[in-house]
Amino acid sequence: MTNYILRRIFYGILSLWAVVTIVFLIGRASGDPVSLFVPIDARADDVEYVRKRLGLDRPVYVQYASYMGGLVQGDFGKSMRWGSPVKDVAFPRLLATLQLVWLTAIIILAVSIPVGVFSAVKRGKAFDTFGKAFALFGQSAPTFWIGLMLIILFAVVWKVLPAGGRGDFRNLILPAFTLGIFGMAAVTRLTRSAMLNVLDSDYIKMLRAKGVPEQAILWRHALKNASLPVLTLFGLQLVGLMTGAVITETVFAWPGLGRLAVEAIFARDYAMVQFIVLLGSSLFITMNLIVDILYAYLDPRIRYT
Amino acid sequence: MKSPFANGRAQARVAARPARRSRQLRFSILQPHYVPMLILVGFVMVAVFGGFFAPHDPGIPDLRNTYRPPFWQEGGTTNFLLGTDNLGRDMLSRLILGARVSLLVILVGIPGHIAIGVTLGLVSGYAGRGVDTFIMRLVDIYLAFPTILLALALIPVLGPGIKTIFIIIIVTGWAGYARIIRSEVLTVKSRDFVSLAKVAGASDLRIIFSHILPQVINTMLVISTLQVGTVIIFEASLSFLGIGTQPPMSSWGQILSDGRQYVSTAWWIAFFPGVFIVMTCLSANLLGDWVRDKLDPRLRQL
Repeated sequence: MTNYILRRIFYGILSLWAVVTIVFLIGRASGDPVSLFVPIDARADDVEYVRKRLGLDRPVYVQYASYMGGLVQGDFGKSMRWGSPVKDVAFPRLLATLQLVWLTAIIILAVSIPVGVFSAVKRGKAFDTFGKAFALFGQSAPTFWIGLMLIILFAVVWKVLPAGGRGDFRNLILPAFTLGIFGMAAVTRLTRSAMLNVLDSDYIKMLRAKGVPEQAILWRHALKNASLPVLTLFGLQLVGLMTGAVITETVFAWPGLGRLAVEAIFARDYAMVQFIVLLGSSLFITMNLIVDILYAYLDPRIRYT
Repeated sequence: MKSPFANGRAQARVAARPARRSRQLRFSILQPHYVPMLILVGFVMVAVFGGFFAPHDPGIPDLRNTYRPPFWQEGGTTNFLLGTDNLGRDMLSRLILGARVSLLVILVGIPGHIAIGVTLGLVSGYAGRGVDTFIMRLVDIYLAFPTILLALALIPVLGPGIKTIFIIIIVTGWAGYARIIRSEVLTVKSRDFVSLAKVAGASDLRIIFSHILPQVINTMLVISTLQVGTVIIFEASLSFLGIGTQPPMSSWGQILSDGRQYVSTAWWIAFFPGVFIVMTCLSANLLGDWVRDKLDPRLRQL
């Protein structure tokens, strides 16, 4: 077990290093890296000033070393657009994103697991058809379109929820739901197929033969065994919400990290873009690591493969 | 790809089915997949020949006809079936021309994925050992990286535009192919006809391309069909954010993004591009599910 965890952590660190290096190389791959940090109409002497200040006049390997050194010491560079260290700008935005993601995660679990379980139990019936249609639709409809349609319905036509911005709890409902659609579809689909598999197994038939109440079989015995793959997928979806967040936050003008990334691209603020990409991927890699370890803990067979 | 839920019975069922039948595509107008297929054929026709039958020129603003609702609503005319946008451009014509970008990203993206992903999968599975470990580690890293982050990192460098979208789509989508094809190659490699080819003195390249590749084509086809929707939505998302397709080219995601500001007054500008995207992606996914069940039921988990 320890061996397995250590190996996972090592791969996690390796991935992180790869990401950091790739982001660095991407930044240097375009002819003149300074152009990423200055406005399009900057004067030539300003460009030279920025080049000096960012150390972009040094050889690439020196830049790489100082870049890595900076990262290790928690120095991620300064934002040109916001005029302060990127992490100071990004952290409040990260909190806003996490607030959204947290609610989304709850919605995904609260909807997908019951719907998936009932779909499996009522296989082939109307509810199952509805569940499958919902899952298919959720995976085929773009997030931003669903978000806009929800705005039209709830904010424009019925006027019951705000169309965007950050405020009280009501501002969170539409974005969280929109962000959760894809995850809900995916988790519902998997819960259904995992439950179908488990319900087909001998030990469930054994429980039925013993006269265990059907509800107890479903929720206590079957769901427990079906929850392994579901948990993995849920973990991955949770991190996949990063992608959704960029779009959902734009639709609902939610001042989160994803919105910040798009703003930074428009402001040609590469230091900020770079930081958000690094932050996002570190979160992603850490989350994967946690899921891997949790999985090995829940299913001992994994540790030896 | 090893299914985590493979139980003995399902495998037995798959194995018992006559191999020949399950590997044939049966086209019949009576089967439920004909609707998605027709929609996709319609989509391709519209994308290719759209310029000929678009009712208006979507590039020319018509300021006397701004914000016309679709024809069935009050104020709408059959001249503009799906209404007009803020500049009086015909929505239907804009959407017809927008289909072109979606088709383009599929035509460039999916062959690109195949070229990189299938080649690496074949090499990885066939070579084994160090090469295999290295390529699979690379795939792990790629799959573990949110696509959108890579896109965000690349866009400022490459500059927004259709070429950038092509590059991003290609560099982000190949890893899934590589992983699945590799596992297929591992099973094919141990079959007798490969050993026989080796004994007969065939070169590695010949074995890979004329003996192993034909065995993994079905899998490739299944993944590709299922990828169509993903690729369309990805382009639309980037365009929606304003960092994808740039004017004067127009794509569904971009039209939708234009409609954002007018959701309270002109809902149709944002509504119809989404309907087009959903219809195309839904059809591709349904068709993909069907092709998978026909050709390669083991890929259920995709």
